[in-house]
Amino acid sequence: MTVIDVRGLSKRYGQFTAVDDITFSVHPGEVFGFLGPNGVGKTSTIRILTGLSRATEGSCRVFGEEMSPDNRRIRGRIGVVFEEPNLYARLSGWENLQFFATLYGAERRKITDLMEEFQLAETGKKPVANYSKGMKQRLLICRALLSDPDLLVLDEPTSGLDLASVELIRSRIQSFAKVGKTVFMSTHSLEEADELCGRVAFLNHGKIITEGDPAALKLRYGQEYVQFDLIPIVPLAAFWDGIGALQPLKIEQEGRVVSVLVDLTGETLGRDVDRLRRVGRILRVHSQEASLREVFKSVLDAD
Amino acid sequence: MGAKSRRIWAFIRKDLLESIRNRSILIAVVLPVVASLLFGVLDNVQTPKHFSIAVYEEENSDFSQFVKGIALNFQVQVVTDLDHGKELVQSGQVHGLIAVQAEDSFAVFLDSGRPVYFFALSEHITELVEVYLGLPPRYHLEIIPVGDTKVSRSVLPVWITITMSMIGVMVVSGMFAEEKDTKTLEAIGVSPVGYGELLLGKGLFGVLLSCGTVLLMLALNRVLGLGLSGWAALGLLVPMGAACFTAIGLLIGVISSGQSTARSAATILYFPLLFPTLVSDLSSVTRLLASFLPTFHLYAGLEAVLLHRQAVGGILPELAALLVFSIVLVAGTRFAYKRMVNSYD
Repeated sequence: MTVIDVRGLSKRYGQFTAVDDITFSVHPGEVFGFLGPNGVGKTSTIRILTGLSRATEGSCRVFGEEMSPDNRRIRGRIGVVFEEPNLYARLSGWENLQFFATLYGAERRKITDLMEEFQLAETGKKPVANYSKGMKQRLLICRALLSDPDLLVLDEPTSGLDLASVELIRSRIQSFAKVGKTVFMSTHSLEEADELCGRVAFLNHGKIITEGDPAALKLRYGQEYVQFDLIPIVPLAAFWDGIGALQPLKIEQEGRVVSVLVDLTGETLGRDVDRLRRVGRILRVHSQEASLREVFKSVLDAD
Repeated sequence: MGAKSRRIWAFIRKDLLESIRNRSILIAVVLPVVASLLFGVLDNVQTPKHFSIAVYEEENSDFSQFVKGIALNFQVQVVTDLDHGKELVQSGQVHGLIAVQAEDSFAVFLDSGRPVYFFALSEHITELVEVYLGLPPRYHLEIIPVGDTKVSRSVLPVWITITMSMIGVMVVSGMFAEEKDTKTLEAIGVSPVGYGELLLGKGLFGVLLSCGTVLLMLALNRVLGLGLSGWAALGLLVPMGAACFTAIGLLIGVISSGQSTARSAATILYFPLLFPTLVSDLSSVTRLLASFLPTFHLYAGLEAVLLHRQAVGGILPELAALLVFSIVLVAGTRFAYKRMVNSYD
């Protein structure tokens, strides 16, 4: 059974098409990353997915139910973290959670547990207006987890946060998925998606341009590299001529050590190593996997 | 309590906490209460009955003795110097000075800074002199007040109650629009709460806030001795009026793009809601125009209950009109909210 099943979904605002005929599904226990730059339709899709907005075309089913602003049956099973910290600033953290706990029919004990887990117990009685951005974001996660949801929808959950908050939130997302629950997250941070997501979809101009397991995408679109750190053993002019002939992807120098990055998938790798050994003494060799950022760049270039 | 009732109560509680911590709302509620306290003080102001006067007698006269003997509410101070007597009046130490210039000639100096004493004393002194000179009364005129003369039985509490019932227009519209601005409405939108629960919760908060403030104001103005039938009438009239105005406030909040628009719209609407009722007695046209507003019917009902001590039976047309207004406004608000949700983004 799929948790999220989106078929031919489009959202238009007048003449502007925010989401253009997208299809994807998310399965139980998955952390699904919805990636792309600003204004490509991530938030519009999330709004339809959470029932805040209506699709112009296509269907969006969550737990088998068509989502719309009128359908409230399965909302208790979905926890949502919005991009903006939409909390009641004059109320304390505790009062914010207490209000939403009543709306979701959650137990009071859950508030205490979550506030302790997210290190908000000490500041729980203070007005949210006095909270830092990281504290507000942690409070938003607490709110989303109040009803013990089966699906967590996160819109940029760690954007602009301090490292400690980022780590706390990421580890909670991982532990949430480990118990068989589903996470749908949109993020700018490709490193975060790389770390957390079992599957990702890249969006551009409202369309999904590629989708899949990050490892498979890296193999398909990415380049793997070998980095050689060496010191010259020939006169410098001859050394740089020799390096230039390799057509390296990148050259960096720190003191006497020169780092040269070459394509691991190229057919000339063996010959390149021989050339390097002729002009320098190789100190270290590292192999480097392609990152999701590079995958995204090459997918965008191809689009 | 069922889940729905708990959710509705959660809205009321949350909005109440927010309004207590919101200075602009607190001012909107507290200022009229303070003003009401002042009216309460006015309520204690009675027509003065005790006077302090100075008497200056140029010739050997028994006028001061006469006043001391006959007018027990006069505290008499005899002065031997006219200028000293005037100084006493000017410095406020006495309310007036009577100078006996001849057997049948008197000059009276009164403190013009105290109008109430001025008029009361001038009347009393005229009577005193007439009695002193043994003049027969020229005519007999007796003014008999009907009812008591307290502020609490005047039109003032009627207007205070109306303005307090209208708190919902300002407070609820602003608070609802604030939820749109801060996007907390979206957090509610993704929860299992239905439209009805949200609007009912916010509406009940507005009605309770209005009723609570009205009750406080009535207490401060000592309008408590209405009797059971009076309170029953007020208990129906005020919540129904408050429901109309809260629904108007919600409607403004729903259709406004943000908090500033909502607050401006509510402020602008406040006057047209109130003014036609103020001028409704001018002509049949103004009366007809005013009858299209809930304020007019609330005013008529409150006037009947607070001034003429009517019970529920005496305000049935007003209650019916307010009920119709409430139903229409609540339905309109619900419709507008559904439209807003469907056209979100």
